[in-house]
Amino acid sequence: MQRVARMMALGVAAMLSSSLLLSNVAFAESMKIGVSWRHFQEERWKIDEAGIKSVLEPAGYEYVSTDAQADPVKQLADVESLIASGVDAIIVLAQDSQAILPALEAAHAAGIPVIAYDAPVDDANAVFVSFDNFAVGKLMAEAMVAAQPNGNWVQIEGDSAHSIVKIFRDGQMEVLQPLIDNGTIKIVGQQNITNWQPDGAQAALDQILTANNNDVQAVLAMNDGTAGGSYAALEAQGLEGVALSGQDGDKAALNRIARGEQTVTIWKNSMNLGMAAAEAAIELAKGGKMADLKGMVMTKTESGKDQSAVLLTPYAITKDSLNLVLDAGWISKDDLCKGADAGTVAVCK
Amino acid sequence: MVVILAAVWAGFGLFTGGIFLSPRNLFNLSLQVAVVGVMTTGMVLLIVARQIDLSVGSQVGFIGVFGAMVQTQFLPVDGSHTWWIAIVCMLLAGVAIGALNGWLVAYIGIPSFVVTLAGLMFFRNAAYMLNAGETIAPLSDMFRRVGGGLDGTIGPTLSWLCGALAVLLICAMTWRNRHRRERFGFSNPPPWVAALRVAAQIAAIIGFVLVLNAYQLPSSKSPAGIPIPVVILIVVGVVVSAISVRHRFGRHVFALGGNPESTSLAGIDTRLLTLKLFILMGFLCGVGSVILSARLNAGASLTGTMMELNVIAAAVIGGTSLAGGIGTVAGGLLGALIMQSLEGGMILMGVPSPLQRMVLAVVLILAVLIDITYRKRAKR
Repeated sequence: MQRVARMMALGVAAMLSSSLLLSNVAFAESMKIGVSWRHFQEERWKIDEAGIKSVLEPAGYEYVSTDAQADPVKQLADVESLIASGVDAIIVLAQDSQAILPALEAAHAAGIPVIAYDAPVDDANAVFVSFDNFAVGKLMAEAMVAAQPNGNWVQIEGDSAHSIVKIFRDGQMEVLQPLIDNGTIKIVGQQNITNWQPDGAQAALDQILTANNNDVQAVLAMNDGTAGGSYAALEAQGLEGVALSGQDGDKAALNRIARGEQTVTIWKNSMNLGMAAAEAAIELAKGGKMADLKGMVMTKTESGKDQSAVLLTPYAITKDSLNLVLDAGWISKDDLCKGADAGTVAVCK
Repeated sequence: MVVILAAVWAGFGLFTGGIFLSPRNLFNLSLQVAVVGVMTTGMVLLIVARQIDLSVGSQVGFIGVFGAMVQTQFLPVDGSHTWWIAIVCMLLAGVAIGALNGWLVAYIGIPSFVVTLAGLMFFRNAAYMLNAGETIAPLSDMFRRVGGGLDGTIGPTLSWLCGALAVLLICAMTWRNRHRRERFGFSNPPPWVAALRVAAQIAAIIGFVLVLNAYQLPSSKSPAGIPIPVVILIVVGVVVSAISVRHRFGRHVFALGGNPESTSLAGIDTRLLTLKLFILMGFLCGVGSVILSARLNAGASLTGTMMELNVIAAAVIGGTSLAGGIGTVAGGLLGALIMQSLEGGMILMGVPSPLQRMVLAVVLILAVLIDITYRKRAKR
């Protein structure tokens, strides 16, 4: 009994002293920016992370991150732990625009500025840093219509749990709706692909092509991963000439564009986005106001609240504009041009 | 189970205006079943032995990215030997992962649920780390054929040959079985019953080859025949089934599942047996990964996410009891066929994807309920 009591006392003493030590350490080095990722597994986020770090490190801020593994509940816990560890600002890539709100309120209550990164949140007090996602959808649809002005179209869309899918769709529909209404374009198939999985897109498009007896002229895929799966399905049926869209500027997709297998990808220099978010985070952490942020505009959240936003410009990359990604150092010429017919692609000569 | 499958096919045939039963859709269906089917054969044996493997989807993803890297980064992607070297590497990777799982379960004593749950998280994220999340595409042409892409079928003549072989095998086995039962004094069902069963099986095989030959390859407009992944599935199915029913190994597995203590007291090395089962599962994950990444023509780290649920559901629908000791490989393959028919049929009908998963969940429960009720009645 005495031994147990002694052990317990020792234990409590150890805990107290170490937490005192740690909190002293926390006071000493206070410059920290926390990032809560929703699911670091998807292809592009490591580029965003590099962008964020490239601004934080020279400015003397420590980069702390968590990964919610696509679980909204885990993300709540992640944000709370970031708050508890004493960060000066939080950058959140939300898994769910509504479920994240309690965590954001906790951050606001603690006086910690919040940047909503690329995924919309329904919070008027967070700054939304993203690409103009409506423009993403619009550019995608415009490039596709330019390549394939009419016929039967298939929509291969992203995971329905991600609210950004709706914004892409709205942008696409702004271009497509008039054409659908007057009968030029007909949507003959539409599927949301769980997890944006390429193999899921392939299986779905296989079935849609079967249902329509291959009478499909365009596949509006929402990102490059699903575009890859879609292309595998098209190729298996000898439908290589069908117009195909994508997003993110993945290396495999850019190569497909050079080879004439994909029509367009919407390239968002996520390095720049990471940098912009980190700059905004540092500004706000130092006490700056949302209204004074560089490039700030006002937008509306999904429920109609006013929200400050910093929106970067996306670019449509087609065969003719591949030089943009080459010049930015996004992809090497070898990776871009392997297997491409140099005669048809200017940048591969 | 066969009745359920027939009902599903008839139902979808009706709702899709016959498209479901078209040669093209059945061809696609056979390709889609190949991956899950191959892995289900191993999973059935594992579940019979009172183990489970939750990491199969992550293994498929990891091995896929690894194989894609071997093909594009370590070897020239259009080299003539690249394809089979990559396949060998992928199979070896599967065996290695299976061995690791098996060792942790059998020799260290950690429950398989825990080991493979950890494996699920570990290998999915390892797949991401391998190439920093970037999808690797395209892959070697020869490799793609293995996935059924680029006209990866064996053609009509070889398909008929396979069909003929299968028919011969069935006749020979049925005759041999009857003969052996007579010799040992067991009663045989009347000859006309046996003849009817054989006839039904022959009809199924002929129908199978006919349908696959009726589908024309888009590129050459020639009859397709059996796709290579389906040949792989058939070979794997027959081999694993034969092992489980005829070979000593299979008897030991069922003994282990029925009563682990008496099995071990009877002198069977249960730890080695468990290790072998996990190695088999890992190997089959390698095969599944080869087919899936060849079909996708890419190594993507998200490939195979959640596939373990499909594989386990297929095994369970096929009559494998999660308590161990009961199950057949053939049943598991039927279960995979039923699940995939449902998935594919629903997309044909344009059902939104969340609803699809809900329907599959309900079907899983119904199928197992029917199976349990049927078994209870049969016992009485």
